[in-house]
Amino acid sequence: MTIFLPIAGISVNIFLLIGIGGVVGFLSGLFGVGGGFLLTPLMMMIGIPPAVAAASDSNQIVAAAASGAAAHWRMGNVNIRMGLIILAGGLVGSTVGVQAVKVLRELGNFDFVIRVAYVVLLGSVGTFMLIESIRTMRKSRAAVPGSSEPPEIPPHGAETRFSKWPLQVNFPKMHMRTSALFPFIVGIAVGFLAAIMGVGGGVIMIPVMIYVIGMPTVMAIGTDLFQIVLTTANVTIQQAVANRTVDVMLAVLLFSGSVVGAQIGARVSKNIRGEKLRVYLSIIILVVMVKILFDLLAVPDNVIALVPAIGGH
Amino acid sequence: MQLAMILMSFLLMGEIDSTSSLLCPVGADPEIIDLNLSYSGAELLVFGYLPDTADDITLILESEHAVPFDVVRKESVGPIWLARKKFRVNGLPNLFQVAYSNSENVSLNNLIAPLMQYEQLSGKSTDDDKSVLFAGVLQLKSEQGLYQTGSLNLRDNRLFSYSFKLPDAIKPDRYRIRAHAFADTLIIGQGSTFIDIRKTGLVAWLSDMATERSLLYGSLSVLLAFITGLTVSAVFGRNSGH
Repeated sequence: MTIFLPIAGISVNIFLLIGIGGVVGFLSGLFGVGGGFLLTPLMMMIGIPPAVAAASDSNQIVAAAASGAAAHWRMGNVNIRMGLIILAGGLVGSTVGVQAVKVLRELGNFDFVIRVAYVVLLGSVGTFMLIESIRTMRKSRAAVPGSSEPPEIPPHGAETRFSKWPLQVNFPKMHMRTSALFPFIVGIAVGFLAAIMGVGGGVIMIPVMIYVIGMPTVMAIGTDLFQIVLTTANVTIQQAVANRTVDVMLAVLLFSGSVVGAQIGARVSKNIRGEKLRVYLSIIILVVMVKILFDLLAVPDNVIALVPAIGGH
Repeated sequence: MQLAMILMSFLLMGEIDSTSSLLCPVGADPEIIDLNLSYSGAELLVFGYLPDTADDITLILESEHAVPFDVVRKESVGPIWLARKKFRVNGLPNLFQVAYSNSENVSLNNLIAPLMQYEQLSGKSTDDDKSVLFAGVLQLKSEQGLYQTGSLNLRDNRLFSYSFKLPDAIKPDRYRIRAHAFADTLIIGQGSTFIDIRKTGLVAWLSDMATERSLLYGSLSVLLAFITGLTVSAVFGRNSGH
């Protein structure tokens, strides 16, 4: 059973889209990432034009992240204060990023840029996260011998890293005090990438929150989903206005699966330790990165490629 | 248009016999094709009658408008392939499909090549640009099912029919179907008809809104996603007793 997508201009199997959305939504709820880093490449693999895939993924991430964020909110895992600081940066970054997409599309290298960005981002984040998680798991086992549920150990130096930075803010819920400047700057970077790559930014934001800022894993996941909702909402509206690449039918089918998957994922995440979650996520990230790298280096079967016209089909 | 017809006739490898040009009746079913949510490609049946003195028939289905489009040429830079040149291609119809009863009368390359014009928008031009561009564009269009050839069989009673396969990458436009009747390599009869392909229903509504009221379209897309996410979360939350 197929459906004709008005902006992408192609017919796609409905159940394939809902199924992909469901799997990615599950991972989104489980790991607290928007899922866009997986979904955009998957969309490109089934023939959706890259610009439409990235913009429509932003739209579906709004639904998946809202679903996941609400679930984490009920569990008390959202720190509004930190979320708003990151969001402020995210709105600036995503606004600039949408304009960058416009320029890159006109130059004809958007497809290349998006793939390179994925390889660099996923490769560095995935490798760092895998090494750090394994190290933390070993440390926690050594700290409490014989215990099956040892406490989560905060990354070394996170508490004092930004103590001399300006704009110090208290975060009573997390029992910590840190500068608002660093999360704001990271928010700008993540918002920019959200627009370029159609990702929520969780794949960067969560490691930064955990390893650099020193937030507990579940609090980082909930807070990240909260800021993702608003950042990707901004990206979606801007992509619709500037590039006209948001395919709402595509997004609806994707989030029909992803919102349900996100709820299931959020529940499963309660039963898995933070370090283990990070190991699983890093492995998925590295597998996706290898696939994109392979595509990037393969000789194209046609050296002539179409530059998509603004306005879609 | 007349000049184009004469040019096309020569490209079909047949000369027009102007003294005995016959009518080659041709029809199409359906005459209107709707691009709606259930569209996943369509079949267009073209049928007609071959004049008594003709031996073969060639049918051409093409879009009436040739909308310019931009392409890039990738070149290797070390191990990676980068878009180094950009071209604007003019003159090529979005769709061009040919059906024939005798392949000697038809060559897709010969039919398309004279139509293609291009201008270079960026990068350094090289001698092989035109040939690489033409081959690449032809490959792109063929892979999308937009440029195709196929063979048709004539029946004993001189009736012919052929089903053109319209791909999902087709664009809304008026499409012309031309029939050329051949005696040996001489075109002795011609006929033509039109069909319309148009967006309808939700596809038309969404496409129009995305283009003409993009801010509203983007805002509604976000609102829909947001409400869906919260609703599903509330349902799951209630079911789990939170």
